[in-house]
Amino acid sequence: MSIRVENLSHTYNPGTPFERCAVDNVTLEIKDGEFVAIVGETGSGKSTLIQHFNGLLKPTQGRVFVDEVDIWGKGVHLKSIRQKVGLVFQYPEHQLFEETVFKDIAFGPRNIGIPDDEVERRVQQAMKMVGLDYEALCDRSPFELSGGEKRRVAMAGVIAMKPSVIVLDEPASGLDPRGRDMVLAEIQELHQKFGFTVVLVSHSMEDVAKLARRVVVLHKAKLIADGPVRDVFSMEDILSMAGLEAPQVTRLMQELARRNMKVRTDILTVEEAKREILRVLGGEGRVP
Amino acid sequence: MFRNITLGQYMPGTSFVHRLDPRIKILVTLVVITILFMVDTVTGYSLIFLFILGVILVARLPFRFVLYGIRPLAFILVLTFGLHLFMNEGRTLFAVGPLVATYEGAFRGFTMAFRLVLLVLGTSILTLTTSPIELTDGLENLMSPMKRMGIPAHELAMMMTIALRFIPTLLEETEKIMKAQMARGADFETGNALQRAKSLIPLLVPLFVNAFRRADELAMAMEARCYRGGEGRTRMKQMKLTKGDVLTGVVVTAGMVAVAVYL
Amino acid sequence: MNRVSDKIIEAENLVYSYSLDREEETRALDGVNLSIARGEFVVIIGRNGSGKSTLAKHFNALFLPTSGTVRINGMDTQDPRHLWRVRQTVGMVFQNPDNQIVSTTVEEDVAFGPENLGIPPDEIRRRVDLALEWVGMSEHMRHAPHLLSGGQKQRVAIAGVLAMRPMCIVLDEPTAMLDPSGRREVLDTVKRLNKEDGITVVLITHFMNEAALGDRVVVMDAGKVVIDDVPRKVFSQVEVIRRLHLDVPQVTRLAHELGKCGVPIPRDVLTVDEFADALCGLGSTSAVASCGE
Repeated sequence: MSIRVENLSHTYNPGTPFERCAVDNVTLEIKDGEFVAIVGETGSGKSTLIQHFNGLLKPTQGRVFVDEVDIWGKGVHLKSIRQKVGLVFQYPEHQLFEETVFKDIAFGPRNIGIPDDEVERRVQQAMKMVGLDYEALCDRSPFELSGGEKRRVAMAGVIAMKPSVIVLDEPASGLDPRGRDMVLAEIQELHQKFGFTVVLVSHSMEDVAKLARRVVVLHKAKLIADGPVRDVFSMEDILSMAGLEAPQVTRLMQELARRNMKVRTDILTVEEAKREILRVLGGEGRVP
Repeated sequence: MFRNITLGQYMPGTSFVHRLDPRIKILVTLVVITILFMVDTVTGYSLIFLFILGVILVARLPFRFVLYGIRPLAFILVLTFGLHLFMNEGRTLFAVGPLVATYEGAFRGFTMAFRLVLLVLGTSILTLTTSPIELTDGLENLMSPMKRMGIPAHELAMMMTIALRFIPTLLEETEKIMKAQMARGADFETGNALQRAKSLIPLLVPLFVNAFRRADELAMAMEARCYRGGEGRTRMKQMKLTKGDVLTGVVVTAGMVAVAVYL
Repeated sequence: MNRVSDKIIEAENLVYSYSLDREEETRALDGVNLSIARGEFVVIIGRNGSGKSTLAKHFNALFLPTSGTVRINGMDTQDPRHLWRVRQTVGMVFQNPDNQIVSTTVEEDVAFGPENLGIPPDEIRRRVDLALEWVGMSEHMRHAPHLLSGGQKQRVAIAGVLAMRPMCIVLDEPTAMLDPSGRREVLDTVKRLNKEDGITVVLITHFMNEAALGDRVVVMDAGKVVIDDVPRKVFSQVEVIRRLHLDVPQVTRLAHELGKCGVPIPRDVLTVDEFADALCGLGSTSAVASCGE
């Protein structure tokens, strides 16, 4: 399952005084099984871009292919595209509406005409995948759950549609450190254990460094970098141009290198930094 | 989809119309609307139309933008025209089965639709040239003599301010929730009336839940900033009526009354 | 009154409980003792439900203690006569920038507080202009709030509080919904307020890098203050902090991990520069025990 956008541009309110180009000529391919992060400041075009992946927005220019099918071509049902590419919006708990957790998660599968017994199986599966106890929660009202639980119910609502790609817009925002870690761990599991292709939109370069392999950087509606996280994060100028900051350990290694220490600068996590510093200290040490 | 609504939007500017006291603008708009319903001749409509056109020019509002405001009305305009076309007695223009369109009907339909257009144009000039805050201040001020009759002028104005402040936020939110539900396969566009009404539940429930949460937080934020109703409250901006404001009001009102009386 | 002149906030045995259903009573705050001196920059951290937000709302008399007392600049918040003085003394900025802006233009919103205080129009104008200049939002004075970025909205909210001339400003997770540059904008403004204007700042946050900015960090858990110390001392207790489901800055964690392997880096480093200084100061000859991993 792949997503490919070709020369995609999107302009809001064309022909009015409020005209604004939110995505400007972006070409991008997300291959089956990848874990891609999309980063950039608010207003850089991330949200607009991802809403093209499942046909919620129609490109002003350019084309969008899902599995090599032009989704705006003749005879393509957008519903089937939306089943294949699941989109979890920012603060997804704000869209919960049903009386029970079960019914809310079942909303998506029912919309695409899944029979009742299969719906039940899917709800069970989806809840398990996001770490929610089916027996304990399925008959509760989603509105009386904790913030973190609500968010996971909303995620399960998208997962229950059995998409092959799952796109998450800032899934950890507003949570406390533990809630953040838990949601991120589940997303990692969705990718590694259940084989979802994952597109993660995030402001946290720490989270991106921990989870994604590849990162796409947007700045003022344009794509300014696309490559392995390790490579992109060691390009300080790209990140600062996009108004972002590499993880603290990455910046630490860059600072050490500036002070003539022979360390690698493409370090992404605390664990990697530890090994690298031990290697340098244990080995030849600093250059005088 | 909601981004295209211009009705009720404000276009900042420094023209004569923009600078006019909001109270005068509100009163004049009321006068024009009243006269619009009293006038019944082509000349009368034309004069009011020319007046409105003149105001748009003086206010330097882009015509295209002002006309956007009429678009949502297209359906009602067609309906008004259609109803009058077939519902009036008179000389036959053409017939569709048992329905007979008449010359008189066409004329009445046209004038009625035109009246509606003028009505919308007139009010949108008010909102396009007056900032929401001036508008509510003006209304509060005009209504304040009614305080003695038990009408809570301050509270009404505060409600209006908050409503105006949150309309864009709520529209944005509506759009977001719609998209989120569409991403889960919801369909807001097809089906019969009942199905469509039902399909709104996944939109309306979260919208209300969120609106209540917002209201709660806003109330707390207002309290934290010492809000305690209109008692003892001052305003940063004081409205001052100038001679020019009064003169404009008097001249326009006199002109409008003359149109109503003589035509 | 002289006795309290250097303490702006004093909470003594503060308990706040509420009941969702009639039977069960939940203690959101369970005997909090805390005092904050004039001019301090205090950061409060704690996981969700630890009571930090409830505590913050006591500083502005939005919540009143079930038992115990809260004094603001010497005024007991339970005394209704002090209510408006308390709220003018301690201003609040909340998490969601959208839900605290009342008016349809930036300047009118900043004027909202002073208007409520019944200040004369000319003086309000002066205060609004000053406050907007302070937070760098003068050019957006006449804009509609919904067209601003999150960081800008929060700066408007801060200006709205400043225009009331408070002694202290309490910010309840003001950066939680912002992107990195928005976060920077808000933090820079808050830091400046504290350093240049001497306004007491109480900042509640989930971001540990922000906590490192404070003069003092208060860690809350289950309605109690569990740690109250300078950031350095707080974050060097990596294990304790993690047991409370919180985090420490990455370099602090790295120093901690390296320490376990015998690298003598002080465990209380908080920033990239401190870490680099410490590491470069070790010298090349220092022997390092190999860490069997």
